[in-house]
This record gives sequence, structure tokens and C-alpha cells, in this order.
Amino acid sequence: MNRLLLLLLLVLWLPGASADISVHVPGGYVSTAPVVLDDVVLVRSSGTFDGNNPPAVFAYGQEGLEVWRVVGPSTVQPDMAELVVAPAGEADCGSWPRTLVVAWSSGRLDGLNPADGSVFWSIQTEVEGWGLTATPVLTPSSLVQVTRDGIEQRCLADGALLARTDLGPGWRNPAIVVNGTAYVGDEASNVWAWSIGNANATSVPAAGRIRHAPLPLAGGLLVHAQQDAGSVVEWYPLASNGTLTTPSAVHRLPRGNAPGMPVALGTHGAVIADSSGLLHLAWTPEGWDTTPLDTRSVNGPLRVEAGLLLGSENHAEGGFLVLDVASWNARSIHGPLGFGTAPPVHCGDALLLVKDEGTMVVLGEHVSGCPLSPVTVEVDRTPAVWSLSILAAYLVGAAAWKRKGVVHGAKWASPFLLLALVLVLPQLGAWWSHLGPSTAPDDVWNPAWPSSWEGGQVVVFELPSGRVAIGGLPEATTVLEATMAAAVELNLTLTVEQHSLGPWVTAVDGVEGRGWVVDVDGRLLTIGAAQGALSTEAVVVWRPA
Amino acid sequence: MVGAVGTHGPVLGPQASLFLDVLLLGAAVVLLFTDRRLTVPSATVLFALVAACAAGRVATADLPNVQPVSVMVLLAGATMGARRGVAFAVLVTMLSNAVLGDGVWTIFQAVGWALMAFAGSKLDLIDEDGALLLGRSTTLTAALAIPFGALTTLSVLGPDVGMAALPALLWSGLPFDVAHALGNVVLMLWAGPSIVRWMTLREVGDPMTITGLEADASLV
Repeated sequence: MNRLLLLLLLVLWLPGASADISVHVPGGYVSTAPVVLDDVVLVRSSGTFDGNNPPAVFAYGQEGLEVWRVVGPSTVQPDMAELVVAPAGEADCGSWPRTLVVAWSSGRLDGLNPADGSVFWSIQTEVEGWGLTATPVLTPSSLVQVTRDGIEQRCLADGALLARTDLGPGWRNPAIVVNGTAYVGDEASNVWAWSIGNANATSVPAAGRIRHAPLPLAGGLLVHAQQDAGSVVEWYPLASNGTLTTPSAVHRLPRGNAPGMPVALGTHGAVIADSSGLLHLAWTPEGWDTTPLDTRSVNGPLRVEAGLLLGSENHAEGGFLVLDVASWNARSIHGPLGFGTAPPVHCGDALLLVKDEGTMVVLGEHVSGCPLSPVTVEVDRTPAVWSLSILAAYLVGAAAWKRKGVVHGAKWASPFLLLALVLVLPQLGAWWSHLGPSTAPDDVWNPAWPSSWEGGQVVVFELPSGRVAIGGLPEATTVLEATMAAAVELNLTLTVEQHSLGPWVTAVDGVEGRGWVVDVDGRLLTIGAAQGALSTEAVVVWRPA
Repeated sequence: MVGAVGTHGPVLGPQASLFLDVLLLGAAVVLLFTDRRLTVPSATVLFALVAACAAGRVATADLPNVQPVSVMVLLAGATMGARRGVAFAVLVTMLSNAVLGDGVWTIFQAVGWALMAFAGSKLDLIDEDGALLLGRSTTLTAALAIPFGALTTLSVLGPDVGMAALPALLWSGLPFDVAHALGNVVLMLWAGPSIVRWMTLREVGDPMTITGLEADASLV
């Protein structure tokens, strides 16, 4: 019996178990970073190569539950274009609500409602083996999409074609738009410049295939070109009219295989990645100042977010890279392992991780602010525990009394009664003190206070430097709540320590003194500030003891 | 009780704290040195129990007004007599408040527990065989929690908390005094007899001066 009760009590006291949240994204590879948007996380998966699972975009909400999905046309090519959310806007071609732009390897380009996945517009681009693999690029007034063999400007309102020109064949080669000119590399080792709206684009030869958006850096463009063996970093100075010039010889830097997508750090710095690891490049007129950062292989996009450089290690046992940009110290994280190119993404105060195989994990305990976090409902178990304690006291005490007498009964009942009393004491103390005698003075209102404070709550601090007061604050329900709001408004620091009876104000604006007491409507508060209920017209006065 | 108010009353400055400590320590020393029955073994037991009791009070400080010291000082008075019991109460108060916080309340607590120890020494809580009268001791330790709470509440009074506030303070403190009483009941019923055994030193001869089997028996 006792063991059963003890077990029951332990279960009731156990803190809620916490674990990483994980979601398995159906379909083929997940090669692009999830997008955290309001109350959902958007993620896309490629179709499987056997054609059994079509590619799709999923929206997941709380506890990883699927909110909606949009299935794309089946292809045997991976979908590697990042999901892009265009904010609501308008241009000459029309106006549009917030739109999720999805480029499919089938060549389809969709504008979707991110709230439910419904289709705003959908258009088809050319396909040669594959269709769209480049991430759409947003400009203030339009969408720029690199297609299989060209580049297009489209209206975000309806996807209508505004301008187009031919380029070389491309693969996962987004554009970058600088001052109205789109720059893009291709599979035929060219770097293109297209003044958006012109009929033709111009190009300069590159050292290899370009599978990332050229990176604006130091008045030029950084390109990390892939070769059959190894790769080459090049820097293309831009002329004053935005045209490309031949690459700078002093900035040519041979590197390892399978380059990733570089990321800029400031106006003259960048981090590049390939199978030989990560390298920081600082541009100087004489060449690059290089700093090796990590030897792990990264072949996908790099991302800089919240002071962290993020990437995915791409091999069978690969994890994720999280480097502090300020120090370049690597942070150790434990997430899914395997091949992958999608960098970690911040989701609330946690990191969202996903590898090619499709398991998306929110890394961290007690995650807040991430749409995938479970709904947390604070359950106060105190009433259950003290009720059970009283019941246990009765049962155990009565049984012991019957066996060996009243002292024995009291011996067995008393610990349970004490437990119940300790648990209920804060509430009991608050209730009890309200029944007690009052020493309240007749009037606590100060005529010098603004009349606008009348009818509301006023909080006063009697500091050594003088008396400060604030009124007209939003109505608070407890003394502590009103006090904290007042301290914020008055720009005072408040030191609150946790005590067994609740929060305890130990210092106001750094003044500890002999402790602090608080009067509510002129009556000394004899319970904790968090338990002290306030009327709508209360006057709270904190003063040194 | 004072925990409910959110303040203990005036905190003392360094000089006042030193004066208070000297005063209390002096009182304890005088009480111990004027106790002609105090021997080295019994003094050793006394100081060990002081340390254990102070540690117990610190360990249970987060439980609202559960005061294991009350039971200990009552039984110290009952088993060791008034002088040692009062000295025990003063030393435990000083030692534990060195950790929990020193101030004017230390005097009130020391006086409150000293009075409990005195009461324990004057009321027959131990029978002729040296066993604890559990029912009587439990009732007494529960009852003493209420006046102890009232006494320590007085420490809150000062320039900013006048006598007019005393009825409200005493009233508000009652639930906490009940917690004190109930805590005393639990400790007395569960540990009282054991505490009495720890505190009761058996008087035996010095085994080194006794020969033969008698010495072996004394060493057992």
C-alpha cells in the first residue's frame, strides 16, 4: 500500500519528459533547408528515383503534424531549388499576397498560398532532361528564375513572363541580382550578366561549372567553379556599368572537389566549402587572405544566421557544422547523420536539422518559438498531490492507529499531512491573511499624482534618492506583476529571488538595504508578492524595511 | 512566520553582528562552563549534535517553517539539562544563521529556542528508564511552535513596521506556525526516541583503568 502511494507520488512529481522533436518527411531526398514561417515549417522532398513517390512540399505544425502538402509532378531528377517566400507586394504587373514560390525539377513554377498550399498561379518552363533546379530570386518588383537554358523575369502576381533571355544549360545555378543586372553561372563554364529586360545576356568564360549564385564581393563577383578534378575560386571585377570583366589572376585559388555554395561575410569576406573543408577568404587587392576553418566536407549551401556559420557535412556519417562566426569555434551538436546538403536552420531557440534521408529534427530540450514544438500546457499537480497526501494520511494513520494506538497513528499520518500543508501553504497563507485584521489607513492616494492615474493601479518605490511613482499601467492581478511592470516603466532594476514561498523582491534599483516591505493600499503585505492579489485601484508602496 | 512577511526585520551591520555573536557565544560559554556535570565526552557529543542540528536546519530551510531545531533543543533540554540545553539552542542558532543570514531575528530565535530547551528541562519528558515519553513530548513540541512564532514575529517590528501591524502579522503567521508544529510532530514521532539515545551519554568508567573482563565489557 505504502509503496503504491509512494510510486504514485513519484509519478506525479516527475517533470515532463523532453526529447528532440523529429518528423519524417515522406518521399525521396530532402536536399534543401526547411523554411520556418509563422506557425508552420515548410520543407520539400524530391521524388524517389523509382517513381513511386512524387516530389512534394509539406507544411508541418505543432508536434510535427502535417498541416498541408502539395504534390509536384513526378520526375527522376532531384528537386534542389530552395523554397522561397515572397512578401506581399505590388508592381506594374499587379499585386500579390505573401506567396510561396516553388520551382520544380519538372520545370513547373508555382506560386502557392503558404497558409494552406492552395495555388495562386502555376506556369511551365522548358525541360531538357530536367527543368528548374535553381532557387528563385526575388527582386523588389518581380521574380527572377534561372531555367534549364535561360533566365526569366516573372510577375509575382500571376507568374506572367515579363522578360527572358537564353543562357547556357544550368544546374542548381541561381542568379544574383545587383543593381538591376542578374549574374548567373552555367554548366558550360560561363558567367553571365543580364541587364534585366534586355534581349541578350553577355558572358565571360569561367574555370568550370558553376552551381551556386555568384557572390557579390569587393565590387566584383566570387565564383567557386567545379572542375572534373578539384575546383577553382575566381573573382570577377565588375565594371562601373555592371558588365563582367576577365577574372583577376591574383584571386584565382585552386581548391578541392565538389564545391558547396559560398556565403558572404561582410563586404570583403566570404566562406567557401568543398570536400577539403571550409576556408575563410578575405579579399585584398593582392589576393586572398585565407584562414582554414574546418576540414569537414560540405557540398551544399552555407548559411550565416544569428552569428553562426551553418552547414551540412556530406558523407555517410556526416553531421552538421555550427561555427561561431566571432571566434570560429565549432559547436558540437548531435543530430541525424548521413549525406546531406541542407544547412541547419534556426527554429525558435533551437536548430532544425535535416539530412537527405528525410528525418527532420528540432534539436534542443524545452524548445520555444519553433512551430514544431509541442503544445505545452502547464499542469499544476499540487492539488492532486496534497489531496492524495491527505487521503494517504487518513488511510495510513487510521490503519496504524487501529494496530498500535493513537501515537502510532499520528506517527504514520503526520508526514503526509505535513507534505499536504507545505504544498498548500502559499495559497492557504494568502487566503488566511485576507481574513485577518487590517491596519489600513483611510486614504493612500497622493493628491500630487496625476489625475489620469486615478481609478487605476499605482506603484511607488521609496528609494534612498527619493520617492518615485508610476500609474496608468495596464491592470495587473498580483503585486509582483504590477511591481515588475512599474520597474520597467521607471527604468529601475528589480532583483527577485526564488524562495520556497514564491518570488521575493530583494533589491530595488540595486538597493538591498535591510530588505524591502510592501504596502498594498496602506496595509503591510504579509504574504508573497506573487500571491498578493490587487484590486483595480490599488496603491502599491515598496519601502525599505 | 517571518518567512511569510517577506522580511526578517533589520539586517545588522558588521559591528552589530560582531557584538551579537560575542553576546550569544559568551552566553553559551558561560552556561557550559558553569555546568559542573559537563565532561569532555559529553561536550564532544554536544558539539557534534550542534553541528548536525545546524546542518539539518540549513538543509530544510526551503521547507516553509519546518524547523527541526525545535525538536532537538527540546530534547537537548530534557536530556542534558537547562544549561546545556540553552547553550545548545544558542549555538545552533548562531551556526545555522551564519549560513542562512544573520540579523536581529537571531536574538529572537535564540531566545525562543532557549526557552524551548528550558521548558524541555523542566517538564518531565524522559521516564525513569531514560525513555522518551513520546505522547507528551509530541504534544509539547507542537504547542510550543505557536509562542515561538509569535516571539520571532517581534523581530519584524521596527521604525517602519509598528505595533499596529502586529495583530495582522501574528494572524498571517498562524498557518506557518501550524506548519512548524506539524513539522515538529513528524520529527518527534519518527526521530525523537533516537535523538534521545544520541543525546544520552552512558556514564561508564575509563576502560584503561579497569582490568580483566570488566574492561572488555566496558569497551563493548
